[in-house]
Amino acid sequence: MTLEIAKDPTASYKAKNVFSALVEIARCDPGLTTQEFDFSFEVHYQQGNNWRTVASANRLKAVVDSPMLTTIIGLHSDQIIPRPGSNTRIIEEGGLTAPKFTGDPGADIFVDVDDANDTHRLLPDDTHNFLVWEPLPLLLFHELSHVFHTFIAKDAPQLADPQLEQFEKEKQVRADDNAFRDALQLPREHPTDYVKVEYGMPTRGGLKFPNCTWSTYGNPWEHCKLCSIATAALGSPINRQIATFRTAKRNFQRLTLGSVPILAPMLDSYRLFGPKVARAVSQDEQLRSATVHYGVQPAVHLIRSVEGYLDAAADTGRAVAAVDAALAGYEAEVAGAVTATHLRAAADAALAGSRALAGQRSAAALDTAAGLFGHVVTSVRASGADPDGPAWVLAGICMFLRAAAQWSTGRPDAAAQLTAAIGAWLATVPLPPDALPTDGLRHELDALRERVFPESSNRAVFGQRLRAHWRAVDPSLDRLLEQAHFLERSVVCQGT
Amino acid sequence: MESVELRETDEITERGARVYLVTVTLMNVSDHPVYAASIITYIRYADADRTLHIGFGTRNDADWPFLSPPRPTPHVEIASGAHIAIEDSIVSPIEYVEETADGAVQARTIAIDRDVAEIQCTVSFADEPPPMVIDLTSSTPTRDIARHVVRGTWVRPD
Repeated sequence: MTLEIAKDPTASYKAKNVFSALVEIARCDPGLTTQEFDFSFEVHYQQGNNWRTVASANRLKAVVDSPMLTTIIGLHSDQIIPRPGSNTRIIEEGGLTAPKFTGDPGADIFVDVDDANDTHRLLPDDTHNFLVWEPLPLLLFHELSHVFHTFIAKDAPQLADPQLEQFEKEKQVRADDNAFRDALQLPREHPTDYVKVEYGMPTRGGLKFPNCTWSTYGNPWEHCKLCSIATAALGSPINRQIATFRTAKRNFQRLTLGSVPILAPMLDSYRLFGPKVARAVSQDEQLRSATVHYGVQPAVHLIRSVEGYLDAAADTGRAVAAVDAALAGYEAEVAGAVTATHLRAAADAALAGSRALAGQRSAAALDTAAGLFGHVVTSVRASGADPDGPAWVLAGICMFLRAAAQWSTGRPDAAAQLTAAIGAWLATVPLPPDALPTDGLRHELDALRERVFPESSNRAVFGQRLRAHWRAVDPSLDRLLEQAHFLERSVVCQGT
Repeated sequence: MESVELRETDEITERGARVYLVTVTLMNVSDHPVYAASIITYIRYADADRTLHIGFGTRNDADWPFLSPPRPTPHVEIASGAHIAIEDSIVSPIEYVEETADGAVQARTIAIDRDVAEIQCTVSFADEPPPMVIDLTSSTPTRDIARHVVRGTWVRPD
């Protein structure tokens, strides 16, 4: 072992973010693990056979196997680089590598783990006409390449003029960066123009990073408290309610549309804004309590309602019974803590948040999207996440909270109303923006019909949305939608 | 330099640090335009006189041990005879490390409202526009641009 992640006892998320970035560099090789010590986490890497052709994984392996110690020090954006005489804030550089100041020979890597205070760090693309995002895995890979060339391979340029030598080293590492970007199918950064770091929204490539598929094996931070809003709110990653989220994700993540997971608009956005909300929740007891009662528990029971609705496969009686059980379960969990009035107010706030995110914003909507849902709106906007997914989720929570308010006052039709609303809500699920009709579309539609849209009326709504979304792209779509029972023949005739 | 001001804002970072604005007012008394650095690139605290040294565009190359070159610093043009205010933010508490007399390294944290009695600002300026893009293929070092500095002080009011 010669790679370690420094611990900050007051901010454990820094080491977690660094390790998550290393996992991305290793492309989720489960052989990447850590061992905890008092002041650091040692990084161990037993490379799996399937990863031996992955260049970024090999680069990491070379650093781990080197006899020279490399320490990665994650810093928050405004932190001054902790080195005597170096009074530069990390936000100005993003990442830097230097020989160790004291002790045995080695290297220190300093990286901003907060993406420039979540304003997003940008670099010019290879044309210097656009700006591309440099997320933490790319930033860290850049610094690991410096370590590799200068201290391990020792093939870094050496020139008499120290500044020109820096230029040559930077060019060498930029070439590695672009090879990694090519492998990830991300736009390239400029190979030779060196500019002040900019912050904001990228003008090319968006805020997208192709996360590898997580493996729980060997990741000590997989269940960390700040990984998710639910974990931050409930205080434990092994809470049974969190298992509901994981199960739902597992059950639905294989459903795709245009080769893109149907959950992508929600999950991609959540990766960006979720940690911000989780951080706020973990620091504010009132917000944490509100998140449990009006966010996490409704979401859990909404998922159970949806699962019950789908399991019933258009058997309305069974579906209503399952939804009724979910409403009863929610009331039992929040008994004594919330009233029908609270639930109605929370539903209104969730709806206001949903509308604010969906662009149907009004002054009144903003005023009422306070507390938890106000935090979500603010965090989504600040993170640059696509708002469609979060807006849809908040609409679903609003729907559930309203039904729960009705249920708590003894309205006999609360479960039936929610059951009907669930189908309609599912039909408005955001379409992945990157999805394009592919050869596998028919198969995807069949799976969606069987798993998500048992009722023809909701299929028709979804089909019309696909039609509006793709028609210009694929004129044969109507026929396909009709064959998959997402469009009635009469609808197709009207359009022709 | 005409004045240095420190202003506490209502903004708190996600880490709970207070954001302060440092505003420096400059006047170009020369007969040609000058180009002044517009962001803080250097912060150092001196215990002895409770002074925070802040540099706009100043950086001692000897304090730059990193493998990557320093990035270009943004500048603003000041026409001959013109006044201009440049502003950037710092946060408090400020965390840094320092070398002790016996060669050890220790972490320090200071708070502006508690520990800083005075701020000494140094602003770097040049007579010609500094490059905003460094061409890494260049064979000419960029540090040879003629630079000058001006200094000013903010003293905590009684």
